Amino acid sequence: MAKPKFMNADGTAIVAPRTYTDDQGKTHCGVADWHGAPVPPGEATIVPAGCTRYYEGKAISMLIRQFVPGMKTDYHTDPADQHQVTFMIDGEAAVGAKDGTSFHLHAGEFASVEDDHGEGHTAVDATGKGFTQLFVAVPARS
Amino acid sequence: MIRRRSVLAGGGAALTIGGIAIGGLAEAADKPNPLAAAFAADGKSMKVIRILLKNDGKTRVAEGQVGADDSPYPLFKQFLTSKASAVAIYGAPAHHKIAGAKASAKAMLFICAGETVFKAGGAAQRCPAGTAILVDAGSGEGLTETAGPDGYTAIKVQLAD
Repeated sequence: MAKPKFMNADGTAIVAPRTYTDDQGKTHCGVADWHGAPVPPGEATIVPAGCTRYYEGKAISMLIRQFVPGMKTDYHTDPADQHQVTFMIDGEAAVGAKDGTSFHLHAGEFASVEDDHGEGHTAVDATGKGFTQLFVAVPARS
Repeated sequence: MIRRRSVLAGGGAALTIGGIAIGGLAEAADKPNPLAAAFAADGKSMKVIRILLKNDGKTRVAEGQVGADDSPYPLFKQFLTSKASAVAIYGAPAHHKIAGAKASAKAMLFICAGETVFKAGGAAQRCPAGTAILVDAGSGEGLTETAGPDGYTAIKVQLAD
């Protein structure tokens, strides 16, 4: 297996595009690095023993959603006090913020949606064929 | 309706001159996206692997199918909708063996890259990238898991209902 596309160059972290809102309420697109680390013995965790943890925290809900072809949103925020840890299963989405920053999320990539307030972001079906995404809602401040 | 789709291998690299394909780049044809292989073409169901707690207390592994859930947005199909209590993204090294500890709660494991194999009761289920695995609370006795030759990366969600 080739190195997964979501890993950084040296394979030590998952690189995930993110949306986030700064202290002035302005929303931006950026990048989150989820660094890998072994789970210390005796720690309460849902990660199996001997594995490398990149991310762990409380969760609120989960779902897999298939978006219709041509789906396009206006600027929106996700539910207040929730962030979304996501994985793109199929298709491609273009995500943008009002400041002009943007990213494309492809199948096989993670993303972190953190703008539960502020200007929000847009999401567009980049191929016109629809896309499928796994969402896990997590507390904004856990 | 969203159908099972493909990713375009080679991206935009296919080169044609006057409608004639040039060299190997012309092989940039649609390839199946294995991450989406679990979804039925009609978008009404998806295959899953179940790790089941049977009445005898033993664990079994089996292939199953789940239907689409009711979505608050009728234009979207939605699957595996559930409340959750915890989430982790982790990587298992190549050939890593994980003993079947008893699952304290229901869980969903989604293989994002690589593969793993679950065995119980004489049956084995290979779970490549794109597989969703539903784990019963209390299951685990007699279950073994072995990561594939390149390991795997997964999202694990501990479910709350």
